[in-house]
Amino acid sequence: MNILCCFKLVNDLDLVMEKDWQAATAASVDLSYAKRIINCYDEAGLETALRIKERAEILGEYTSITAVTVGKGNFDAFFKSLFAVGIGRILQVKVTNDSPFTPDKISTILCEAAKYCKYDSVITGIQSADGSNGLTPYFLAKKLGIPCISNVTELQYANGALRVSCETGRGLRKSTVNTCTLYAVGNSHNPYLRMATLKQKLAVSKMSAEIIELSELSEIRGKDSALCALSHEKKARLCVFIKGETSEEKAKNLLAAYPEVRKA
Amino acid sequence: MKTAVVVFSDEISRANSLLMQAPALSEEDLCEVWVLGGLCGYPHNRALSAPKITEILLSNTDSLSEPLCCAEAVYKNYLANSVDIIIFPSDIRGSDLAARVCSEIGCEGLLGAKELLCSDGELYINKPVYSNNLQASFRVQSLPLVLSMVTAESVTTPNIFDHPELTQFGVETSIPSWLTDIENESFENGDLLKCSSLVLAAGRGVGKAENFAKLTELAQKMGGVLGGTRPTVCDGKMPPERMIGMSAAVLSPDCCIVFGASGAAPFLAGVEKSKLLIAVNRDPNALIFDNCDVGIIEDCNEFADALSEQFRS
Repeated sequence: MNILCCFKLVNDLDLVMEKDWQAATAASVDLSYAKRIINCYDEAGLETALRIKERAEILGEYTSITAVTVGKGNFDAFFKSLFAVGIGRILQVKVTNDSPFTPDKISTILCEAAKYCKYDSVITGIQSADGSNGLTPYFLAKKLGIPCISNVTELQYANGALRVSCETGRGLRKSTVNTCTLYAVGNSHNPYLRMATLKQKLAVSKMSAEIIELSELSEIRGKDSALCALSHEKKARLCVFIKGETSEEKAKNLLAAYPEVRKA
Repeated sequence: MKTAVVVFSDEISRANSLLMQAPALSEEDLCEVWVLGGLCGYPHNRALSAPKITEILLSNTDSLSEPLCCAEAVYKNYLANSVDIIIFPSDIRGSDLAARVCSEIGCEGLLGAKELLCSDGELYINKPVYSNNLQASFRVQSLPLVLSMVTAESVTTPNIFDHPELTQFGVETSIPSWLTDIENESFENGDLLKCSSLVLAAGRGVGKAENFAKLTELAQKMGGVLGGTRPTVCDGKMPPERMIGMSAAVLSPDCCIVFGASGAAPFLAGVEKSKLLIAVNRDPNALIFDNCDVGIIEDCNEFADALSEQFRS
């Protein structure tokens, strides 16, 4: 089995200061000081792929995982960690402009990158923290000519096929998939990527990602709506703190000051 | 300009609030409703604010629970009855369908839109980005356009059409043969969070599973429902149908008490419409205190025990 995982490195938005959100414009948002992390849904996707690989190999099926990312930065430290935990090959597509609001363009680039890989399953996160468009997996599946199953919570290898669980908004749906499919991972049961040991890191110290230059795609314009403005809404709430020496006193004071808590 | 609002047969009442958000460029603009699965006896002639209603009827009713079949049916109806804008509700099911239809048509699309505005003949869409820390305004470059939209609380009475044009569109659908052993599990309390006037929200600071059980008891005592942040669901402490936040339930209860959550923007998007928002956190610098009405600096589990005592008495 060959799995292709698409992932994105994003700034940790929890570290961004209020003043920088307030200063944001469509032309620039200063996130430079916020460390990069693997987008949370993509992180779950990578861990899902590693679990499939482990299970398949126990059952005697060789499994390879190729991970692909689009971005212009130097992500070697991330790549080393990914190699160490079992990702066999990493491709970085370097483009000059990787705006988070261009799902059609990014899916075109990922589709081009997929031509460099063998795959019979594709795993992505359902959306990125920055762009939050949620469209990239669907567009990519369409361009690859394969079906898309979204809001995946769990993906398990069983009897040569993948058993997928996904949220439908009305419940959970489980099914066995017997064709090459793109799985967009949402609120996964396995959201965190495993940590590599020092021994694992040393074992892959000479591995590095393959860089793909698709500069001719950097300037393509997909069918994406144009970003005109970014604004930060001033929070309207002003917090009043409940005083008291003990928890009991604070609970009493809360109910006395806000009787609607009882009536809600 | 023609706009269609697409709803499933089990949520027809949501159509009006989506119709209210459709932009009107001129008086000739038309809005219609496409109902996946048909009206099923819904009193359309007295309830929907649309001059035209199309029932999209799938040949196999099981197909209604298969997103690929639903998307195919909507796409075929679009090919037969072309419109400029297609709007879906912005829940998991609606956004999924919107994305599928958008990729099938190959047009512009945006999910989770808050507003659709028309200015100087141009269409603009406002939606949250950067994990709800910023609002973005996008200009639509070309039509057709597919959107999933957050349903607004209706403030005006919709214009009800007494005799809307009613048409049916039948589609042959079948579950793909590559999809086998399908099992559907319904969430028993899927809408409970959204209906409750009092919501308790648990964050990772609540800690052990036994503390979540205590909060569940407290919620019952207080006549409310317990929900959780995304990390609590990912940790298996809360079921997925109880997740609160931008990518899950967006709530507007009379009162919401948040226990042990730092106040990350995606979670706040799910509780910011609460009339009274109370936060309990032992860290006085927690972000949640910048975004709530009432703050309690205390260990959230100790405070939960104390509150529980108050309700016992």
